[in-house]
Amino acid sequence: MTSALVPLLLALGDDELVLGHRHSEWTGWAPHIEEDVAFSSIAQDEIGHAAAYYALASKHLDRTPDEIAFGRSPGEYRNALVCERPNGDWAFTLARHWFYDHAEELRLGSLEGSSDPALAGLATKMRREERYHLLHADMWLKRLAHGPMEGRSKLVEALGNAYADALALFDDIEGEDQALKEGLMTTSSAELRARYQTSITEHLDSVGLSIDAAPHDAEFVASSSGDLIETGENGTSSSRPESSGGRDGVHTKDFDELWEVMTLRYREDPKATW
Amino acid sequence: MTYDEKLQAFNDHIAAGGKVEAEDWMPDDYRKGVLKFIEMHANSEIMGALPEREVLPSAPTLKRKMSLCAKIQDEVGHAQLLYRVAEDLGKPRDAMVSDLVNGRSKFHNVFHYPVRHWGDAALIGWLIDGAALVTQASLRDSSYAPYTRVLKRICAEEQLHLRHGEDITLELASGSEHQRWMFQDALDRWWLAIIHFFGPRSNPEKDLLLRWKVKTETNENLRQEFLDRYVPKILELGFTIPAPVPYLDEASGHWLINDEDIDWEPLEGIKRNDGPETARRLAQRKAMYDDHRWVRDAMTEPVGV
Repeated sequence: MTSALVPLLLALGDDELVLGHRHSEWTGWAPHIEEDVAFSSIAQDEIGHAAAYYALASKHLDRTPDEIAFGRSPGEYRNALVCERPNGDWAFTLARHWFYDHAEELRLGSLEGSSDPALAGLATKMRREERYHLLHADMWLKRLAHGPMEGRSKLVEALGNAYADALALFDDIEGEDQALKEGLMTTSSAELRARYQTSITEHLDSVGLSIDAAPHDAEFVASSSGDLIETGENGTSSSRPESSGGRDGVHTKDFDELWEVMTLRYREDPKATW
Repeated sequence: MTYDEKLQAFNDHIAAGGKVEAEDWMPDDYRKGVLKFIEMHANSEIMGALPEREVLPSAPTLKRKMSLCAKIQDEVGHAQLLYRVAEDLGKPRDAMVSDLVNGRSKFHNVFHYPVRHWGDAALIGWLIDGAALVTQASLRDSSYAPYTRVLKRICAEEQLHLRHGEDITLELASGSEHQRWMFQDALDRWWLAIIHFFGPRSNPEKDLLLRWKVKTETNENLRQEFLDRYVPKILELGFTIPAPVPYLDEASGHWLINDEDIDWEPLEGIKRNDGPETARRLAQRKAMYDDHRWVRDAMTEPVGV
């Protein structure tokens, strides 16, 4: 077994589980019936992906996928904080969905070349499903950016609120140097973040929005000039401190609440079958 | 043709087992009755999502988390299909949803009650979906053809829900003492509401929907079918059925409940949209609806360039 594989799988799986959980909080009362159906579908995909990552991890840990999902203490989860933020309103949900699925696209693309054949195969399979999430997210971005003023301003505000958190999806993963050396990861998180910023800047520009400030006080404004994102010394922006920590198991109060609810039934009787 | 001649021809058509399409001529009372009936069905599907969504975040395994989410998604999808059928009878969906969230229309009694734990997920999936399936299967022969077409799809999906509910129930039944308690506790709280679900005895003389074969079975026949199908299964799993307690009538082989054993009082409040959870659930949905008008606006507005 490789020591870097498990932390990598947990970071990937925890992102999917926690975001899938948040998405599923819309199930049954989303603001629009068609979107209720769509978000439930996306939620199931994400939770299914978490289950698949945990199934790979469980081969190296003496734990079942359910034990990994529900039987850990909050500090053992490695999801990025963006996944655990409360849903807030629909605009924030959509902004996060858009940021996350674009990040996911890049991350899975790089994992397709992983030296671990099971992980590489999984990445290819998931990427096919994620494509629909991306279409859905892009459709909404375009619709709101070009739609009535109220929706557009809500979107702009929500993008600003989620941006720094989204960059922290590419904070280093525990054991990353080792994972790169072993070829489990083909691209460093820092490099992926740089590509990510280029990619989302282009996408936003294509709908007439651009980021014209550093992420710590990111503001999205109408522009067709494609203003560049202000960059840090190494050519990429880093995430702001309060957006980071998730990859090291340092979470927010919101996560503690989510964890209480998500693991409630499981913790009552971990030996039971359900 | 005079109105009376048209009405006679319509009644003859129905009596001969004929079907009605949205664009066909139909008496106003038929249109209004069918609209109200399907609107209530649609409302019930979407309100039915709320009790189950309350147990979804704590689903005990990854598999259950996904399958319960999928199940609720189906119910919302059914609402979508049914609202579309109802819309063709002349009432826009937004008006129906607005009437629902403002308490001006109705939904099934069982969705006015609280859920407490995973036993409720089992019970709703198995017995409430089971009860709904008995009713909906009978409606596949309804005289209103567009309704029968969506019901075919809905019933196929409800079959899967039933298996999902039965599967959860079987796990609880064969589990720990606490797990068995969960199902029994849910059964104790829900049984009377399930009996109410089918409604009081029908009056075929007065019930226009029965006369026009929009509904194909009386309430008491549907309840009987449910009892005969589910009571033996519940007892076989070793659970105890609370009041009104069914008994086996040896002569007919049917599981019966005496009319006088059914307390109809709790249903009265629900008919006025005043059940234990009615106000809270409607307020939640209304807040969601009111706060997100901009989402619906963005959905309907054409995308500019």
